[in-house]
Order: sequence, then structure tokens, then C-alpha cells
Amino acid sequence: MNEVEAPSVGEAPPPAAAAQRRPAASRREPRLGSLAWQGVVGLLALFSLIFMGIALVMNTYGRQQVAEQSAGKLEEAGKRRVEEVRRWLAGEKPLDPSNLQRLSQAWQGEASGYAFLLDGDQRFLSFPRPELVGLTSRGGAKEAGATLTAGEVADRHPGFRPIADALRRLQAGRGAAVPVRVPVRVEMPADLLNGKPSLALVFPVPETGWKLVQVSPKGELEQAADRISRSLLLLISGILLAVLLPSYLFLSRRWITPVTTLAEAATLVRDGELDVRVSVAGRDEIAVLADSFNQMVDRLAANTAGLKQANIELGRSLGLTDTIMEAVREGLFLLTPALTIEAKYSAATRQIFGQEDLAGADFLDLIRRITPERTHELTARFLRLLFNPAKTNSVIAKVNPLKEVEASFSSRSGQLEQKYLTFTFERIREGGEVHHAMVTVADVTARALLAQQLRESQQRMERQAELLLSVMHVESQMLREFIEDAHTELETINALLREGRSAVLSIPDRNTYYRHLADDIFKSVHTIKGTAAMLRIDYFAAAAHRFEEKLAALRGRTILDGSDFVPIVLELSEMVDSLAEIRNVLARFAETQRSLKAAADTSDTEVLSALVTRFVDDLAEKSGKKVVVAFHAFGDLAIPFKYKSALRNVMAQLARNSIVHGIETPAERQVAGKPEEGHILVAARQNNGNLELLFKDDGRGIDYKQVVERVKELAKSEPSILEPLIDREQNRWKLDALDQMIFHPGFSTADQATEDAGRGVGMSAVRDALARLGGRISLRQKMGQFCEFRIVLPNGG
Amino acid sequence: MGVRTVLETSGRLLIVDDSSTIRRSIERHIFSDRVTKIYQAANGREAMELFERYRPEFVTMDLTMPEMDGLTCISKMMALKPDTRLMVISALGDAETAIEAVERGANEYVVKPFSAEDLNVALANLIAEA
Repeated sequence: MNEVEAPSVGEAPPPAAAAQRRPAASRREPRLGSLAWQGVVGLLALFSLIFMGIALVMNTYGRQQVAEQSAGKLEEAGKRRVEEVRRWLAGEKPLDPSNLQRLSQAWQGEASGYAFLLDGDQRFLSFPRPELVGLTSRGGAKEAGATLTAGEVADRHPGFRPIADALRRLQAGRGAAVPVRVPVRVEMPADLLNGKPSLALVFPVPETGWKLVQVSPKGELEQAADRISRSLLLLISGILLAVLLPSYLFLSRRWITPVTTLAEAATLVRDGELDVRVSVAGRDEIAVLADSFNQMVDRLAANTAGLKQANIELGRSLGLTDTIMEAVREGLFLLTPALTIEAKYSAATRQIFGQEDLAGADFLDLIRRITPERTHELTARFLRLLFNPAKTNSVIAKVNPLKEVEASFSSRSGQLEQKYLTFTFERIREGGEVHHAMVTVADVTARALLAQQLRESQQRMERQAELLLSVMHVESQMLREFIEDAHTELETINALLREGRSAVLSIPDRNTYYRHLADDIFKSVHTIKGTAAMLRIDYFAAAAHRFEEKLAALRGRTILDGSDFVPIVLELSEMVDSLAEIRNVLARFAETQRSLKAAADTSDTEVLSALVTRFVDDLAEKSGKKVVVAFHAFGDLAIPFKYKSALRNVMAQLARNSIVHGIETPAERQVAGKPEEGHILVAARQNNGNLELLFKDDGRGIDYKQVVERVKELAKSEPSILEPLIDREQNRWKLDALDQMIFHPGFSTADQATEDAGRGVGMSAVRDALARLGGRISLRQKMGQFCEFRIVLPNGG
Repeated sequence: MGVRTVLETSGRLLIVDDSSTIRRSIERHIFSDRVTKIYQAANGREAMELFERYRPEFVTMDLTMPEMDGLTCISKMMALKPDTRLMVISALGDAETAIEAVERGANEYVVKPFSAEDLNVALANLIAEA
């Protein structure tokens, strides 16, 4: 069927689906010439129409001829009878109306029909069947005035009406301007007498007012013609129905609808509806045209879809570019050969240049604004080389004047801000031409400043190192004297300069005065320089030398002014600073030397023993005990530096432990038969490359009862500690294992924590501290007699 | 590229430098079989004489030399033979001199003191791009 597939109202189907809807195989093999064949059908229909037209015309003409022929015969018969009536009227005197009736009767039965007469009043004078019109069979009226008029008869017999009308017209026409053509011809559908369709002619009878009406039924031929005409009409209608309608339908289906559909579809396509397809049945040219149309639209749709897709892709990639441009930290933009910045540039570019809109901006203008004029000129020359395709990329990269450039921007507050920028240029070539350059700019201010600071601090360090070196090899007394002398000289120069500035003198005098001033300062500086050189304080000597050179330049001039001394003043203040620096270094040096000397005077062990003694004395006094500390073999033993701090703490802890827990009060000692004062022995020695320390007191040792109680208490929360302490075989405590418990974390046997004992951290902390140094501590004791700790540390380790 | 180009280019190199040490150093770095003959000049005047006589394809040029400075040499050489591949080897590291040299026609630029690597890369560029 013919149809236009309406485009879907909703979203357009994806282009791929649309393409699938019409497979390429739909191309039909055209049957060329079939359209011509269809044209023959059309022509045939046209010819039959023309034929029917001709038949109709001929039929009508034939019928007219037949009618004319019979009307002619009738007229002749009529005229003959009118003549008979005239003869009769002329010959017969007196008139007998019955003869008229006979005459009329004689006329009847002739092949040409019948005739009758009417008088001037349209009353019947004769009629074949007199009774119908009020006449007697013999003629004459039945009674006077009894004959009927034509109008009266017509009233009674409607078949007679056409004759009555014609008679009236004839009557009325007498005396009219246009004479009524005689005889008057009247068509009668059904005659009064024979009831057949008849033709009547009305003749006026001359010299009387009479009328003769000749009536004749229509002839056979005439009737046959009518029949033929009717059948012809019927035939034509039949042909119309049978041939024309189908051929119209056929042509409409084959031609008109497809072409209309195609036109509609084409209009839709023109308006951008690419979802339209036309389906035409058959294999004729129109169907082929429809196929071609569909394929064309398919291709158009595919192309359009491709374009749309490409547009979307383009949009997406543009979006990606935007994202990149926003995210990238460096300034990134494209430079045209006209040296303007393209519309796409990274957000960082704006920040670096401190300008919002850079699209279309003149790059050289930007450079001119932020760099010195010379850089701008070089950049202009460089950019010409950049866009010269004959120059190689490598050489372009090497001559880039913006590799690292100091740029100054005026900030919003109007202050000048220094930035270090680095520019790189990548050329984008196309067809041998450089059509763009991609420029990256990075703000390397932080890096550059850091590098500068590093350089400065390195210089300062070098100077100080040099100063220190110079100072170290100079005999300190001489150095001190030099510093004093130099200081005095510099003060003198300063005073001279100050005087010079405030001096009010005439011009020639002033010149002489300044000349003398320069000479005086020169002498002073020269002295300083000489001494510094002799003492080999090279840095200071160099500073003095620079000063001297500036002065020499000053002395070379013919005219001197106060302002000429400004650089001298600056140089002087630098020398004063340098001298202060030397003095400072020297002071620090002396301080270090003093402490070094003091340290060298006292041995390590002496320091340590002095510390222990002082500590023990303090504690003993606090606890009301008497304790004497003895040191053994301590003398020249060197204690490695890294042990010193740890050993000081260990010794303090051991001493504290000894006095608080070990050594009894004088009363207790008396009871135990011991001397009142307790004794502590600290000994040290080198043994097998190890440093051994011994700490021994003659106190009560370790009270096992207390230790066991404490162990049981600890075992409640930590049962595993019991196992190594108990000798299962003999079912008793292992005493030497119990000794070691005092190093256990959390072990403290003192009844209450005091400043000097308790908290259970003491001995375990000692063990840990020594372990960290790679050493160990062990305990040996005898209850009531003594307690001895032995510490072993790897020497020099 | 390919064989045809190699055959078309005979590969003469002129080394211009007032220091014989530098000249020898450059000479030692030439590995390319494109360079078939090496000439050496110690000053600008000598350089121009050798250039006019041998018409070398490649030149390395010092900028500060007695008799005639390097930049003038470059201009003269380029005027005589515009397709000369010329590399500047200079102690002048400032951008202006470099740009000036490239404007006059130099194809490569190496700043003294240079590393073997620098020189190799630059020489490779100079010869390969011919």
C-alpha cells in the first residue's frame, strides 16, 4: 500500500536503527516500460470515452432525422385535408354539419392517423369518436351548444392537454407582432384515442376561424430510434462503470498516489524530517523512484547522524580541553603567527599574567609590560625565528630569551611584584608552515628565590668559615689587639666622614678639605689592610682593599664633593659589620676554647664520682642514714662520651636504691652488729675490652619475704611470671631468680612511693637504659650482708 | 633521506675556532660518515679563505676571534652559500648574541664550556637535518 511512515513524535531513533529499518537489499529490479504499458491502459480509456461521445452525437442526430421525416408526412396529410375541407366548404350548399363528421370519419383509419375540426370558438365540429366531445354519430350537436370546447375536453382527458394548449396559443397569437409558425407542432406522450405517444399538427383552415388537427402516432422507426438511444445511454453508462472506473482506480493507485506520497515525503525531508520513508508496491519506474528516494534519505540520515555524532564528539573534546585548561597548573596557550593569544588558554595563564581576558591579546605587548625593554626586543626577534619554518626546533629552544625571565607586575595595591617566569615554545607545523606555537609559562618565583637564598647563605657560610680559619691560626692576643686597632681606625674614619658632611666651607677650601679627608681615610684603611694581610685575615684584607680602591678613584679626581663620599660611607659600614663579625667569631672561639680546656683539666671519672658523692650525701642526710662512698681504680679511665649521660642516671638510681632499700639506719646497723655508717663502693675498670662498673653496698640486701609477697601479688594479673621462679622438683623458690625480679617492670617493694624510691620503674629503667647501649646489669647479694650490681658495657662501641 | 641524499652530500666540514684545543675536541666528536673531509681555521680571515675554496656543507663557528668576528663570518658564508649548515660554538651565552647568530643563519648553537653530550647532540642535529 502507499503510505508515508509518519516520523515518530518522541526522540529520534539512533541513526543505526534507522538504517537497519530499510535494508540495502530493498533495491528492486526495475521493469522498465511497465509505465508505458500503464499509459496504454490510460489511452484506451480515453479512446473509449471519445467513441462514446461520437456514438451519442450520432444517435441524437439520427433520432432528429427520423422525427423530421414523419413530421413531414403528417404535415402533407394535414394540408391535404385542409384542402378537402376548403373544397367541401366551397361545393356544398347548404352546409350539413353531419357531412363534416363523415369526412372526419373518413380520415380515420388511414395510416397517417386521424384528424378533426374545431370552430373558431374551439368547439368540436367533428371527431372520430363524437361521444367523447358531445357530438352525435351523424354529426351535429346532440343539442344546441352541447359540443364541448378543446379546453373542456382537456379538463376531462389529460392526454388532450397539449393540443388544447397549442390551440390557445394559436388563438392568442392571432394579431400578435410575431406570427405563430403554422402548423403548430405538438408532442403528445399519450394520445386521447390510441393512448400511444403521438405527434399532432394544428392547421388553421383558411377563410374560416376553423382549426384542423391532424394526429398521428409516432412511427416505428421513430420508436426504434428512441430505443436505440436508450440502450446506447445504458451501454455508455456500463462502459463508464466497467472500464473508466477501474482504469481510474488503477492509474490513481499506480501514478497519482505514489507521486503525491513522494511529493509529501520530499516536503517532509526538505523540512528536516529524516525519518520519512516511502513504500510503493510494484517494480515500475515510480517504485524505483521511491526506492531511490528512500536510499537517498537513508544516506542523508546517516550523514546527518554522522555529523551530529561528530558534533557531539567535538563538543565533548572541547569540554575536555576546557577541563584540562582549568586543571593544568602551568600557563598554557597557543600563539598565532600574528603573535596574538588564541581563545583557549589555561586558567593558570590568567593568574601568571594577572590579567583576566587574554584571548586575542598581543603577546609582545604583555612581554613589554612585564619585562625590561631589551627583553622585549629580543623576544620580538626570537618570535620571528620561531615562526620561521627553516629554523630547527633544537636551535629555537636554545636561543629562547624567555627561558628564565624576571618579570615585574604591578599588583592591585599598586605595588610592584617580582616574578620569575619560564617560557617554553613548541612549534606546531602544518604543511611546512609553523601555524601555531604552543607556549607554556610557569611561575618559578619560589624556586628562583630559594636558589638565591641558597646562594646567599652559601656565600655567608663560606665567609664565616674563612673568618674562622683566619682567626684560628692567629695568636689570640694579636688578634684581639688587631680588632681593637681596626675598630679605632674605623671609628676615626667615621668621625672624619661625619665632620666632612657637616663642614661649611667655601668652594676652593672645600675641595682642599675633601682631598685631605680622602688622604686621611686612605691612610687609615691602608693600615688596617696591612695588619689584616699580615695576620692573614684574607677576607677582611680583601674588604679593606676594595675600600682602598674606591678611595684611590676618589683621589684621582680634580674636584671633590661631599656626595662623592657616599660610596665610601657604604663601604665603611660594611667593614664595620665585618669587623663585628670577626669579633663575634673570636668571642665564640674563645668560649669554646675555654670550655674545652676546662673539660680537659678534669677526668671523666672524677666528674662522675663527684656527682655520685654529692647525690649520696644529699640522700643520706634526707633519710637520716650515714653513708661513706669509696671509689676504686677510677682515675684515668676514659668513659666514652655516649655513655656519660646514661651512666650518670644509672649511678643515681643505684645510689638511690642502695640508700632507700639497702643501707639500714644507724640503730638497725648496731643491732645487726655492723658499723653505724654504711659503705658504698664504686669501682671501674677495663676488662677484655669492656668497661666494667661495680656498685656495692653493705646494706641488708634483698628481703625475700617482701619479694615473694610482691611476686604473688603480681602473679594475680600475670601468672606466667611464677614459672621461672619456682623449683618444682624441690618445691621451693629459686632465690637467684627472685633476685632478678627487682628488674621486672612494675616491681617495687617500697611500702609507699617517695621522691626517691617507688613507682616500680627504677631498676627496670636501669636495665633498659643499659640494654640500649648494648650493656647489661647483674645482681649478687647476701641477705643482711651486701648487695652488688655489676654493669658491663662494650668499650668504645 | 636514504642513500640518495648521502651520495648527493659530500659532507665537508670547516671548523673555525681560535683555540686548537677546541678544534681538536670538535674533530674528535665527528663520527658521522656524512663528514668526509675536515678543514680547520683559527680566525675569520682564514675561515673565509677555506670556505671560498672548499665550499663546505657544514661549519662550526666560534664567535670571538681575531681578524674577523664570527657573526660577520656567518653573514658572509650564508651570502655565498645559503644552504650551509652552520653551528655556533661560543663562550657568549647571552640571548642577544644567540638570536643574532640564528638570525644570520646559524642552525645550531652550543655554549662553551660544553659537554661531550651537548656537542654530540648538536652535531647530530646539524648533520642529520641537512
